[in-house]
Amino acid sequence: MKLGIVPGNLVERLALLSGMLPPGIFECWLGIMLARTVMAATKLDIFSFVSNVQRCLEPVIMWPNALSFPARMADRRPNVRRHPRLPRKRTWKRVAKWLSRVATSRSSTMVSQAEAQQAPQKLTEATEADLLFLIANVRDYAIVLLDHEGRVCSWNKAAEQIKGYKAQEVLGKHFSIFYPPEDVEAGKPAHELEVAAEQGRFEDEGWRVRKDGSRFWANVVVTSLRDQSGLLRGFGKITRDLTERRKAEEEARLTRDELNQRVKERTGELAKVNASLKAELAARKRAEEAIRELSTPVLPIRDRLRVLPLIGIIDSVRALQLTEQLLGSIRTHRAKAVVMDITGVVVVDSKVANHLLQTVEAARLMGAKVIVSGISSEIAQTLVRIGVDLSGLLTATDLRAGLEEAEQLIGHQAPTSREPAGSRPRA
Amino acid sequence: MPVPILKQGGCLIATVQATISDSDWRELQEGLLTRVGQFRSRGVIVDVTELDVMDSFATRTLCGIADAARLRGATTVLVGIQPDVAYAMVQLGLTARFQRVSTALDLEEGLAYLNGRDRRAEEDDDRG
Repeated sequence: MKLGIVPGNLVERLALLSGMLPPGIFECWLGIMLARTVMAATKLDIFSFVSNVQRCLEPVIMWPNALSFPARMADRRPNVRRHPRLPRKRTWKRVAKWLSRVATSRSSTMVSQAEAQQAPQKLTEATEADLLFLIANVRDYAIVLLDHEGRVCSWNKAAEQIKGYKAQEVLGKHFSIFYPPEDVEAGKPAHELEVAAEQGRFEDEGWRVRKDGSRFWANVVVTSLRDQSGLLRGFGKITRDLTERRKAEEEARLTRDELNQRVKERTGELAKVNASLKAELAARKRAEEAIRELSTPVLPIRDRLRVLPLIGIIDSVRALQLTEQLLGSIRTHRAKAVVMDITGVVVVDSKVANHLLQTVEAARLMGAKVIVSGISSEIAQTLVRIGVDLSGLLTATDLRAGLEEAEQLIGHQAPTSREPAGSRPRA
Repeated sequence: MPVPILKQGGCLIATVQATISDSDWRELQEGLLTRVGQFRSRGVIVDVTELDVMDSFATRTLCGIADAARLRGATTVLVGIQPDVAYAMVQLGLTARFQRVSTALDLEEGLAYLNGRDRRAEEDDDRG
């Protein structure tokens, strides 16, 4: 058998000779023992130990690279290279990961022996001493034991802090010393004990008095303590100082009120601004309405005769308005004839012209006759170009002629139908 | 809802409500024509003041009423077309049919027109 190493251990030597152990086992065992000793001595966990080993061994293993340093610098090759027999970086990483997993899952065993011996026992069940420890050291709740008559039997740190008395000063005294004089006169302490004895507990929020006479707002729960047979042994009084909470509540309320006030003021201002804006808008709207009404006025001449003088440019908006005004006026004032004078209109586009013709038609449908006067040559050509039947359209040269014709029409009570010539009125 | 038809002198007056349906239009047509024969009326006035919507069916029925009434010797006048309705009808091109139908602004005008026609007819008769 090939012996690569010389065993120093007698036992191993014998084992190797007998062929039981493979070579290198001793070295492994020695290494493990050494590692354990080091870990115990340095109080490191296995993960830190292994990474330390790696870091420490690195120069030892890599020192041959020093020989080729000049050559490597000249060559500008990568400076260091892992020895091929050593594990790769990723293998180190994997080992480290595994070790850390093991470490977190079995934390108690990763602690070194010395530390484990010093750690205190785990709390599986609380002993009496522990409970006393708890009650004595609680900081926020004053837990006081009262006997069946209400005298103080026990005291704790929080009670000292909240009420200001030290334990020696207060043991044996009646618990009504913690109440303000008016409550004592009203018999509140006795009442509390009564209720607690009857119903099992009594909860209250109220003013209490400290040793120095200052008052604090407290939440108190008094519980009656009965033993197995139901005999009242005493009372437990748990007090909590709510002064801060009350102060915070008061402050919050003040802030809220202030905010509400400010909001109200701001709203008032905004409402005023809003109102003024609305008034402005309304005024502007009225002005626009007035302008619009002025632009296509339907003026009364006689009882059943109206004139609609148009001046300027008629766009589609104005044309719509014109229709509305004309037809509305016919309905409201029961006009029989309307003279639409367009002397002041130089040119209209074909859409508006069509619209005007339709308006005339609609007025006829309502039983009124429309005479269009003052058609300029351009408009005449536009009307012809549209291609609508113009035979029924009543026209006049100018406003005067139009008015004369309209009076004629009304005077003769002319029919508003479009029946054939047979029924035309006789002059 | 049936349309009420009233007799006023020699005229029949039918006032159409806003909620008229197609069957009501047909009933109106039949009713008017029957009564024209029954009362020997010379004129028929259809008041559409309440009507917000004039569709093509209504238009067709009204033209039918006018033609049939003329065949029976009565003149039909359509009164009280609302401005919006009139403009809508013109835009939709429904007025092509209305060439044969007379229109008036309201009931008063319509009656005046019919009486005027009667008077002129009498004058013609007297003269001729």
